[in-house]
Amino acid sequence: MVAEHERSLEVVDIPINMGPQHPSTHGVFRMVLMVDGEKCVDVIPHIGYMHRGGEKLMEAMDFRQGIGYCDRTEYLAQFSAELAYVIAVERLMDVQVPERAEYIRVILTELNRLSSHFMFMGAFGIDAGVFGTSFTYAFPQREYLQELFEEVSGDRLMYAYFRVGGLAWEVTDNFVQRCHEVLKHTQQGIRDIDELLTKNEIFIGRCQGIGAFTADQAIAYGLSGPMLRASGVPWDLRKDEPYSVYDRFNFEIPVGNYGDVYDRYLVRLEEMRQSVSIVEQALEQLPAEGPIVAEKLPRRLRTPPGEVYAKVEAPRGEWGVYLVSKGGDKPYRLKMRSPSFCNLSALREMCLDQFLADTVMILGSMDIVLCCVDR
Amino acid sequence: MTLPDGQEPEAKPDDAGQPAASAPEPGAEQPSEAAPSTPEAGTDAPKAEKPPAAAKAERPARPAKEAEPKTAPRVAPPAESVNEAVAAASGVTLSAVYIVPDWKGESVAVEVSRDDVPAVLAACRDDERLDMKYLRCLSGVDWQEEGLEVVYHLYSLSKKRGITVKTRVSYDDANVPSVASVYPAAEWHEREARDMFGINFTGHPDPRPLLLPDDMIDHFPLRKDNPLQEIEEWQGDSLREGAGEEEE
Amino acid sequence: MLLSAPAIDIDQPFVNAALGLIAFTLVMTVGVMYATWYERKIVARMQYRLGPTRTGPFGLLQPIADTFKLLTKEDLRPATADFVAFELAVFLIFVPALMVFVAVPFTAGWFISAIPLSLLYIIAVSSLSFIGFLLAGWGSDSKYALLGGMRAAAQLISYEIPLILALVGTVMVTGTIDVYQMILYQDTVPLIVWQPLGFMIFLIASIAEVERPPFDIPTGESEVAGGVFIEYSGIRWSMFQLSSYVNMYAFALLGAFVFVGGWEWPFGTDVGWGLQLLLTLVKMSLFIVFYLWVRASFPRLRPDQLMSYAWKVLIPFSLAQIFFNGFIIVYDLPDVAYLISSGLLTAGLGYSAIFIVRRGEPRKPLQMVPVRATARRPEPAPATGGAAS
Repeated sequence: MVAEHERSLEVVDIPINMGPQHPSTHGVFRMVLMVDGEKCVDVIPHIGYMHRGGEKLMEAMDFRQGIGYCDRTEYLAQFSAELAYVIAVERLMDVQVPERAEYIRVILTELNRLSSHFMFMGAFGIDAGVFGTSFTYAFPQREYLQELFEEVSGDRLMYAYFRVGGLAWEVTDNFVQRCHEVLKHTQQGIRDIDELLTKNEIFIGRCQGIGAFTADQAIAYGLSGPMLRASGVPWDLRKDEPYSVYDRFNFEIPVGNYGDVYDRYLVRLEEMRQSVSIVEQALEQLPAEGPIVAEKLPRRLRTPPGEVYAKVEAPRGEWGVYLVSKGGDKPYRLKMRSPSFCNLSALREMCLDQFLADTVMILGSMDIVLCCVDR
Repeated sequence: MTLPDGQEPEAKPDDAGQPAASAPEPGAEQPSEAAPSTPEAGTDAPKAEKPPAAAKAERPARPAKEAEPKTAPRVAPPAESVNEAVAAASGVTLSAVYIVPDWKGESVAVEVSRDDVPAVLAACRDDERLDMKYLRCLSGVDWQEEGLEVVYHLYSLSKKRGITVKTRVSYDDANVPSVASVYPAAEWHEREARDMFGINFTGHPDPRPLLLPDDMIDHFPLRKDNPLQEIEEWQGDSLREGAGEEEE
Repeated sequence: MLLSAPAIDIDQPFVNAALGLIAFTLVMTVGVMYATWYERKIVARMQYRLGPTRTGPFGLLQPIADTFKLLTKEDLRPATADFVAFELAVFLIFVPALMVFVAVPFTAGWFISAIPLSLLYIIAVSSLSFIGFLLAGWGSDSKYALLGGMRAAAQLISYEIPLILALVGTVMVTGTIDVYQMILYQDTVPLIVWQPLGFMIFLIASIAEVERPPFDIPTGESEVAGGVFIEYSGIRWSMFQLSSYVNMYAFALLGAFVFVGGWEWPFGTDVGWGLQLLLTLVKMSLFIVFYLWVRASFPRLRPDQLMSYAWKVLIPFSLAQIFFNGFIIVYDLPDVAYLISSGLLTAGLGYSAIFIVRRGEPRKPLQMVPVRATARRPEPAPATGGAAS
């Protein structure tokens, strides 16, 4: 029975709007949290601030123009997005990509994975509250990588370098040597971040046990990438459905046990090391010469009618391209299955009954990028 | 740096009346490439078909030019494919079964009627032989005269095989039962498909607009009724030299 | 026993005090401005970058540029903000921070006022600032500010207690509550030797009192986007920032005096005021560098972790130390007993930090699932030569 004086005191949950502009929402993302004291009782994500109608635009772009848009759909893992699109078209057109092009694609995609994970490390440290030290350790490494990408493709961020059937143009003469230099720097960067964060007591206290997601929940929500692997599901497209030349490398997949924020961080950190190993193997196996684009491709690419679902392991998860073609030089329907979109749909489930400060950590650990969510 | 097709020495007489290659274009392209005086135009004309003269052995055979299909030919899957297990587990008759290309090889696509969708998906998820607990992707497709289609890509992580389930509805009756209770991943995908195509997912727990503004509830951008202007400029080599063919 | 004369030798004690305060305030204002420069340079170097370099040599004119910028900003106030609370909050934080320095002896002869109970005064005055946080949080009429204000109040109150208890331990050892006397007590051995636990607790609690990372929950930028100060702009906001630095100076000075001997150790009172001032500044700087170092290195604690650390760890340990100190005083044990008891408690504190964070069974490491190559690169044509594959 509620006493008279208590009935007059209404206890409400405070709605807190982590609005589209917020230091830690990783882009224009709005989250309305209903907070009871410090615990979240509801999370309502609002997305769509960055929706540019990408899928419709792609229907008007043919298979060479569309590659430029793919970069903008995933601006931290551009090569993965380009690769998925290009693989989809190649699968429909039945184009055989030459060896050298495949190896260079793998090298660039894995270096891009490194730069994306460095971005995660930097931003995640800021979410945790390490006033920018992790950010300033991570971003010089991204600069080295971006310099290399600029030498190869001409652009620091929007590469548009892959083409259907191979690459746009030959890489620079000192590509292999530059890659080795960059790898030295990135290994130092990985060590720096590891020493700063991994065994840091306060960091561990902020990350362990937060936002735990079981393997069943992860599969049911369609998570992919490091989120899925941190929950204990050893699923990596490079291992289980290897595309390109990934079936020629020896590497390891880090799989977590608890599915919490700390495991996701560790999985990404370990993936960076594995990427370095893959790039080194690829540089070793890279054919010194060879064509970089498939032979006898028509100038105007037309796919036969049909559909295909091509997927690659982007740094954030499974980037899928569902391409329906009616036989023209443009897609009839192009659906981009972006990993951040699917990962973000699980946000509410993960954030219930967590502290307010933890929602920021959980959102940071998802490593979403809003262009990918909104397309 | 795509290599051009070999310059066809002869024009293709049966190239006239080429159907519109990309369906959203309301007008058919002008069959101007039939003019034999423009040999370079021959580069544009064939849709990646093997010219009879050059020996391009690495290209597989393409369908015949005159009956240029808009949809891929439907090849039935071999026996003991996953569609039989699905039909058995859900007890639903599948309207159509065919194969679609997959990352390596092929996978099976089935079409079901829209009321059977929750049953089929639940069977895929719960049956031990299928064990398809992973909803990869849920998309809408607008096949103009043939209606709207919802495509579900399911996958089994343990058995490493997947299936594509499709269902088609008409424009007037664009209702599909929601599978958000079967696969929580479908929640956001269905909201997006509703925004983009206007497909009403009945029983969806949270049918608010996801990507579009809250007041844009009756305008469905990805339907083909909303055409997008062609992006006409080409970067690099121009394909219009001497062709007279319109962009298409 | 009061010692010597105040620094400025004019007959009127009231005018003396006023001149001393004015001189001190001017010095302090410039001092905290350059504390921002100091912080930016040092933290930048720890973060692999340079800090301000362009505004003047070594960026030395940066604080002046910042001051001009902040002075010319529009003074915003939300329309629904509570006028009195909003305006008063700034002063309630800034003024007590400055008032601490009234009782602080910079050298043997330089102080503004010789208060017999100076430690009590210092602690009492510095703990007034939490009211300012509450007022700022409430008066800003913003949910973020309210959250920040509540968190600030909780944090400041929670960490006052171990701070005071640690200082009570030192009072018991030295037998006086006057900071000046405490400094004189440490002519041969600084108090850090007798009370290492007190020193550790003082360090931790003072970071929390000053609200610097890792205890900057009230102003945590990633979560509450500035917390209490979110609605303030221009010169008011800069006063908040400066008050944070003034507090930092105050606690650094206090730590230097109470635990490391101030200007007395190791050279004694007979050296001139120049060396004494230098010693004070050097010791204060060591504390400040430590604060900056901690800022650049650690993530932020969650509020509940912060509270539980104060109440469940720091307070019991500091109470235990007071108990042991009392024991030693009553039974008149030699001084080394202080060292033993406090040293053991310090070890316990260190262990508890590890234990509390890593509670439960040890975590399973990541499993590494190997992927073996299943294909090989097809052998290249002989003309290009073979390569490792």
